[in-house]
Amino acid sequence: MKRRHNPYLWSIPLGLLLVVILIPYVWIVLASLKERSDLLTTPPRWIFDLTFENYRQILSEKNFDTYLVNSLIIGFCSTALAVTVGTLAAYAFSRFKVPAGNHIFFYILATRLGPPVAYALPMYLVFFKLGLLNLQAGVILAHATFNLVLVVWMMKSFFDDIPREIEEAAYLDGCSPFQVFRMISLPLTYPGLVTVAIFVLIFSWNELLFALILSAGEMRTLTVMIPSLVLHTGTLWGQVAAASVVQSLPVLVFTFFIQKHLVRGLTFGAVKG
Amino acid sequence: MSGVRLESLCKSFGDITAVDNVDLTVADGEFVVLVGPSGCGKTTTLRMLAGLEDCSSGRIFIGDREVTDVHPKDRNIAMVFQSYALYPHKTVAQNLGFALKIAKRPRDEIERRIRDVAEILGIEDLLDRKPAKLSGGQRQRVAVGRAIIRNPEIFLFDEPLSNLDAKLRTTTRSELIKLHKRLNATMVYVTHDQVEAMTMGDRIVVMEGGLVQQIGTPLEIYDDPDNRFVAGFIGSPAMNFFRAQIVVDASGCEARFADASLKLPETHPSASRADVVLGVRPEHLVIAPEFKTGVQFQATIEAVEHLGAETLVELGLEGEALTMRAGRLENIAPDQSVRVGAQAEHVLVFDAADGRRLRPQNGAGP
Amino acid sequence: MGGAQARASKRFMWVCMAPVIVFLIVVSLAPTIVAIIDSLRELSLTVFTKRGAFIGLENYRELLSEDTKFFTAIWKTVIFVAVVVPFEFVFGLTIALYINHEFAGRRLLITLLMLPTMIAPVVVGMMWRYLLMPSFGLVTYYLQQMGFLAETTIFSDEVTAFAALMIIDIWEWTPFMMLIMLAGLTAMPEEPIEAAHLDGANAWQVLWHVQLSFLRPLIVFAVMFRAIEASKVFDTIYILTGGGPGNATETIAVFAFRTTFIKWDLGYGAAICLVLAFFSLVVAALFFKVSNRAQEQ
Repeated sequence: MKRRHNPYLWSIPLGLLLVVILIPYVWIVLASLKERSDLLTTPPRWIFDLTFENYRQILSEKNFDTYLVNSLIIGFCSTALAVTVGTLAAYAFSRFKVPAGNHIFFYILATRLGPPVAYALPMYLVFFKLGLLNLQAGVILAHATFNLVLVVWMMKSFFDDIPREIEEAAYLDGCSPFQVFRMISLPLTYPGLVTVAIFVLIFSWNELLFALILSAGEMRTLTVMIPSLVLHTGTLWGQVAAASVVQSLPVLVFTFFIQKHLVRGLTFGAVKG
Repeated sequence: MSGVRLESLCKSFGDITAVDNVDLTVADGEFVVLVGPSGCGKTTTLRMLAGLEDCSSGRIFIGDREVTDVHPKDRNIAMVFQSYALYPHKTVAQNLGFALKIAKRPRDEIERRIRDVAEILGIEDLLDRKPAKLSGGQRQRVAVGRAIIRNPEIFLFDEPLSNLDAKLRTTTRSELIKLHKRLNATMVYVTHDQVEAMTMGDRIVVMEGGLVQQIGTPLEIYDDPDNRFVAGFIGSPAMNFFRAQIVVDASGCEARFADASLKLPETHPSASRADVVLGVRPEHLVIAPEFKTGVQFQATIEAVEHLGAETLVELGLEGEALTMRAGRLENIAPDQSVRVGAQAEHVLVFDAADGRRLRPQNGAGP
Repeated sequence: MGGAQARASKRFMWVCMAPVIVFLIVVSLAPTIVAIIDSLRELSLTVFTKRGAFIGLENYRELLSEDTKFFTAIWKTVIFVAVVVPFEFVFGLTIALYINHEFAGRRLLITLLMLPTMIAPVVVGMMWRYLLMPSFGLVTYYLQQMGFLAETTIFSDEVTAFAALMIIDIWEWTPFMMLIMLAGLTAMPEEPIEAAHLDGANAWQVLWHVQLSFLRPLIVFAVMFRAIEASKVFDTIYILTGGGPGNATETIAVFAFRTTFIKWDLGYGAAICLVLAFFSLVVAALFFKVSNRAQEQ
């Protein structure tokens, strides 16, 4: 709508909205920089002496780096797996008549729509029997599974956007179907592919339930580690805050760069934004 | 280089027959144009020839080799698409060299051939650009370049000029003709534009409803169409048609419409019919004819279009509109009633039911 | 008759599909079969006598006819979804309409507004746990100062605990609704709106008759999508209340998790999971239709 706005009047409700949305996060960022004595006070303390002690502590005492590395390994491996498997399937769905294609796609969709618990337990039963629980493999497979529909759906729409004639020209230039895919169609979707990969990475990075159920001990991820700082003797709020900030900051940076595709990504490809 | 032979080629999509029993032989080095309205099967025929579409039945030969069941990449065919289908992520040079790269030619050979082709087409300055940065005419050249760089046995063109503006289309048309002469290559060209067909083709194949209607040189097709469809499709403005009754009496056989009558030889096949359709090209109609043979009738001038060198006159005859094309005419105005005629040799006779051309049995006359 | 081209394409199609088929069999189909078998057995780690014995459909019978906690959890989930989704929709739509025009810094603003949705639910949970701590929490403190809250703990009272979880969910997911509605509004052509204005419609009439009716397929999709996602809520509840006090905030996902991994009744848990998976198949079929329609738009 092109109505004239008074920019100052218009931005007042927006400012209030931003306060409601951002204050909780700002508060946790501030908490991560507080001394222990400034964390739990009445009234809450807005002005305090800055310290990086919390960050130092999680790194030195809590094996934070191990969990960080776990989260990264799981994130990148599951992304690579989901993107590879999903992109190939998306290309088949886009270009060829896949027998029972609708059923296969529906099955992929269903794995994402059901409650993760319902899929985590069956995986647990199998991975337990296979002894995968003490490896990152279980979580990698689980994350790849539940992100598969996003990859297939989004990549299919990117492939659909490539005119058929371009592929036909490549066939006449002497390409086999694999060469057409590898040298023409796939490179044309690279920008989309990067976006999809970022989404999968974020979803894996943020995921709790599968990571909680399918990993143990040294193999746990950041999202599992953060709640474990809640101890019976009291919560280490400074460290919780520091770990939360480290976990969430990269997500926010990436969000800014993939903003154009957020709608597609968050609806795992169902809505074109 | 080699020719092409299509034998009883058919293609159906479900219940729809797109290409119906097409036979065609293209000689080595010949430029053949497939022309017809959209949906006539010309593009499907071309795509089957390229191998992009399977044939439902029939056989395809390139040279002496049957390629009916050969993958497009092994047919040694190049095609220029209507949309050009350039690879958007590759530069012009990479677009040109792609086929050679796939064929694993040595790098210096690829570079040399890219330069040669770019020189022929005058696109040396564009080699480092991506297709998105090219004008329509430049893209068209790159698409042609991508075809000629491979030195294929056959060139296929699928309406390659339809995305260009009118002026560019005319110049590109003559460039393609020159290119054909220079390469002396076998080319099959699809278009819906009969002007392109007439000006470019060594031979024209007119298609309609999946069937080949007529094959011939442009002038053969123009002067001696096999049926009413071909007569009406080729030529602009289109041929005029009159429905006429056949009267056979003591004086012989006559075709009559309005106040006109056309004497036909008694051996003419139309003698056995009740009515026929007569066709006359606009340039063969004359006002106030001085000749006595042929047909003459009274018509009203409905509109006059002065094109400068020539004049188009729209005539009304019993509610039907006719078009006449003549040299410059200055002394006529709408609403005049005029006497119009055409020489007998310029009147073509068609079967009223199936549109087939009715030729005199002795081969002479109309 | 298939040409060489068709055969080569078909071969390559199977090359493309093979990984996904193998993958689904390994991580999805095989586990489901194992779960089906295990759901027919006594696998509670607290029962020692019959461990591993096949007990037929006993787990299902118990779940569907005796387990009141199961039905309570479903009921809680329904309430949760029925409360949060309408709020998220109305708030999201309002914000989307409010910022539906070009202005400087729009991209940054949207990124900031998306923060609650994009950060990990674990972090959301921990953040609010800190904000809602008795006495010391930022929100608790100011609410008490303003007299909205008595000197109690939010998460020890059944009603306030559940309400708090709902508010957090609304905080977390309203931006998502806003984003979808914004996408729909952006895709909407200007002409019908201008035509309606020329026809003398006021702003409300334009909103109702033009914009919302244009958005309808997308709204149906978004509400359904959020309802499905909200019914799976787990992370924040796990962090904030663990389902308590008692089982006041035990939604279906939390119930399934607790039964399986806190009480370690794997056979019974498998039965729960399969019942849920079956429901989600039905839901997925519905969703498939709706999203296809939204995509056509």
